[in-house]
Amino acid sequence: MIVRRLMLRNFRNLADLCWSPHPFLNILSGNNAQGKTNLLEAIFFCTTGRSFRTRRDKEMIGWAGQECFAGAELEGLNSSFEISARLNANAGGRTTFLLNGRRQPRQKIFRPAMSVSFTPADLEMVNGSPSERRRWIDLDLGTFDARYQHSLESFERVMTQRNNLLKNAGRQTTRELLEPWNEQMFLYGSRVIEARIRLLKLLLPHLRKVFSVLTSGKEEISLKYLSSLPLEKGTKPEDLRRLYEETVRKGFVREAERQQTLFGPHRDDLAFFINGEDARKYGSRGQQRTLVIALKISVVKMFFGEYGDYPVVLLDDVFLELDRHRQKGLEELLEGEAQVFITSNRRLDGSFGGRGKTYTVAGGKVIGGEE
Amino acid sequence: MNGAGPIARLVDQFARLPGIGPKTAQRLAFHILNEPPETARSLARALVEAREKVRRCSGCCDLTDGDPCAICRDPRRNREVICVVEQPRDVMAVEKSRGFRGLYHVLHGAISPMSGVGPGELTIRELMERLAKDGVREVILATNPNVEGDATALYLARLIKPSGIRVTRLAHGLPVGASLEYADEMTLSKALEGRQDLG
Ligand SMILES: Nc1ncnc2c1ncn2[C@@H]1O[C@H](COP(=O)(O)OP(=O)(O)O)[C@@H](O)[C@H]1O
Ligand SMILES: [Mg+2]
Ligand SMILES: [Zn+2]
Repeated sequence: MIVRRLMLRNFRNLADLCWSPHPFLNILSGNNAQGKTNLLEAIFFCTTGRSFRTRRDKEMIGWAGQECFAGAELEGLNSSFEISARLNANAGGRTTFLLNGRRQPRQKIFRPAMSVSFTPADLEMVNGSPSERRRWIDLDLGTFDARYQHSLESFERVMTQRNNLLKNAGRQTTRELLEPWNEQMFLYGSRVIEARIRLLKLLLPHLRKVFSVLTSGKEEISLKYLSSLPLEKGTKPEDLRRLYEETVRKGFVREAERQQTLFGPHRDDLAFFINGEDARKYGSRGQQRTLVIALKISVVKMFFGEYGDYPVVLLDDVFLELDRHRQKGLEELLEGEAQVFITSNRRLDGSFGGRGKTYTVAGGKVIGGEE
Repeated sequence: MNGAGPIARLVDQFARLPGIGPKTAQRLAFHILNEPPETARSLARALVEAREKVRRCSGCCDLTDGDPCAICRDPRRNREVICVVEQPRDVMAVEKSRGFRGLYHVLHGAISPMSGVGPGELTIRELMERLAKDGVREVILATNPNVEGDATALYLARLIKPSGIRVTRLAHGLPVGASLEYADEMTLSKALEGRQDLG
């Protein structure tokens, strides 16, 4: 996937921009608060339909106006197309997406998502809270499954409704009232868990290889999905729903007491093991960061493995100080044909073999373009 | 601007309407105030008249200015099939598709604990009363294809099932997460053909 042209109007501080990036490497340098991250966010938005910073589309609308336009001319393996979006700040205003100028539902346009982002917040993924690891799965791996986003959103909505029911009625919640929510929770929740495990299995071989390269073959990685449901080695996808049902039946008294949904993908976590040791508990800070870099790169590799094309890679401030591992990671990334965008608040040195350009971002404008 | 004056009151009334924020409310208010007084008068008349003349049909609970409504009165409609929808506007959407010749039942919402809407807030009691006496053989649940619409359909399916009446759900053709209102006529008549037994 290559971004041929990016067109923005009133997207955060990018008031009016029409930019044709380099097909390979784009280095975006500039002082702080000039719009570098905003630019990456716009590319991510045009290729996934979401932001990597916020769940509220309206935040992306520039303060100067009520509306915002973001569009990208994209080139895939054997087709070119244009995705654009209109955001509206009015109450009840919603985001509309267009594919080649025709309005389409979000889930029809973005499947699979076509970019991978890497921001400083990701660096805390391994030692951070479980929600950060779930967020990584949802954002990076979820895009490999056309139904994932819908299942996840439906699950979250069902859970909100179910929690409200539990809060209002507590122990008095009747079976008739709960049943319609339970049934949907089992359906969407088990779909989410099933997809996560399936996608992690797809990722694992890529992760093993990348991690081994980054650590010069000295360290080995493995991972485990930790579920709030009592999954066992032999649990089959078709058993998940029944298992979910049984777990809730057994645990309902506790749910009614606590007045919230205690079982499901929203409670699950992920554990990584480096040479058999839990990376969160025993890994050094350096190992944890190397692992995050490996996770991100392996998503790019997995994407290539699945679709024969590279996603657009967006690196926000993360390759600033190129220590040994990151240097290797960057080389690993640039070895493929992915279009890469790197931001930095200083000039990045190093030769990129003439396969890229350096731009300056200042006051919401993109300037220059030196080879 | 005086916080309690007539302008503020007008803005406030507009802002209470669904989908209208403070800015739009202000725009509407000033629009009315810049028009000749007759515009405001006829708007007010239309509002009051509609509100006073329009009521719920004693059959299907749709909004109507005559009771029973035109559809419930129509002798050519098939009285054995009832299509259950959330809103009056959904009746219009299904009617436009011309794929359906039965009667309707309008719930006036969907079950949503977070908005304080339980089965008691909908016209479910009225529906059950109709089913108990009217010789209905099939109920099509055409609530919106989102989690609230599905929860409502599941709730109704359980409730109706013991009566032996066939319960189906609009199943195909509608894009996921779309509501009936936005469905185009083709997909809607296809959806009516592809309905599935529930339960
Ligand atoms: N919705 C918005 N409308 C206008 N400006 C915004 C909006 N959101 C953020 N900004 C501005 O964008 C700038 C930050 O841009 P960013 O891309 O994060 O900077 P950097 O170049 O350091 O990555 C800040 O000046 C901030 O005030
Ligand atoms: Mg930044
Ligand atoms: Zn009627």
